[in-house]
Amino acid sequence: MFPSLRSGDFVIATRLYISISVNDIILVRHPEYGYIIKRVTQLCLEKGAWLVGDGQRSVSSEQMGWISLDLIDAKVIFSIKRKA
Amino acid sequence: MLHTITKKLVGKAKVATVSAHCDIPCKIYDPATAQIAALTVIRMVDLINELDAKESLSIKDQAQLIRLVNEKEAHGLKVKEEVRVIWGDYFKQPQFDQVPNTHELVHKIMLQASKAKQGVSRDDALGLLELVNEFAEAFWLTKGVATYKAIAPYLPSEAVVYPKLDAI
Repeated sequence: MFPSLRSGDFVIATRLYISISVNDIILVRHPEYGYIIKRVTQLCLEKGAWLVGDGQRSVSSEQMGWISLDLIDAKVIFSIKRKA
Repeated sequence: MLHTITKKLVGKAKVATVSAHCDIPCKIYDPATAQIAALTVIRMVDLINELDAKESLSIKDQAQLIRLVNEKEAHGLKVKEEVRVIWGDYFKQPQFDQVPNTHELVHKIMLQASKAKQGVSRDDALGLLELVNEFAEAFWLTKGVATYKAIAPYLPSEAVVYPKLDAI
């Protein structure tokens, strides 16, 4: 998620959210990639959410495909960054 | 500042760690590299023991011994690294369900590799290959690929588990 987030940063996330929007950073319990953090870039009622990492080397959306909204665990509301 | 305070506050509390998955999951996993590394450890032990049979070691022999020990050490580490990557990156709950003793087996490999690194016992090196073969069988089981055992066509001529793949 670099440059938005770096390894070791903390995030405060909530499971109580009204909606997920494009650009939100979310926590996902993915069956293949485990517990991951990603940014939402597209939303589709039937397909769910299309996610990307901010880093260039992040796993591509093509590899991950559409994520069912059921897999979303929480929405990030605040991040605490460590010193660069 | 805020990060330092949070880190202290969090302390030993259970805070979930999430991965941004910034490595590239290429999905190319194969225990063959660990098996070859285990074979190399055996071969290095054999060559070291050949030197040991000599009455005295020339400078050339001593230089050779250093090379052999270095290679044995490096390949012992390689076994650990290769197995750890497959266990840590490839194995997930469905694979653990298929092979319930994976954690125990991987831990045994870690210990056996250390043992093989520490000494020059052929039995210890063979024990490592046996465990790595067992791990290879487990890996191919999760891939739905049958396996067979055959003697590798090169020294140290030991039995290795191979995947039974169809020709294209």
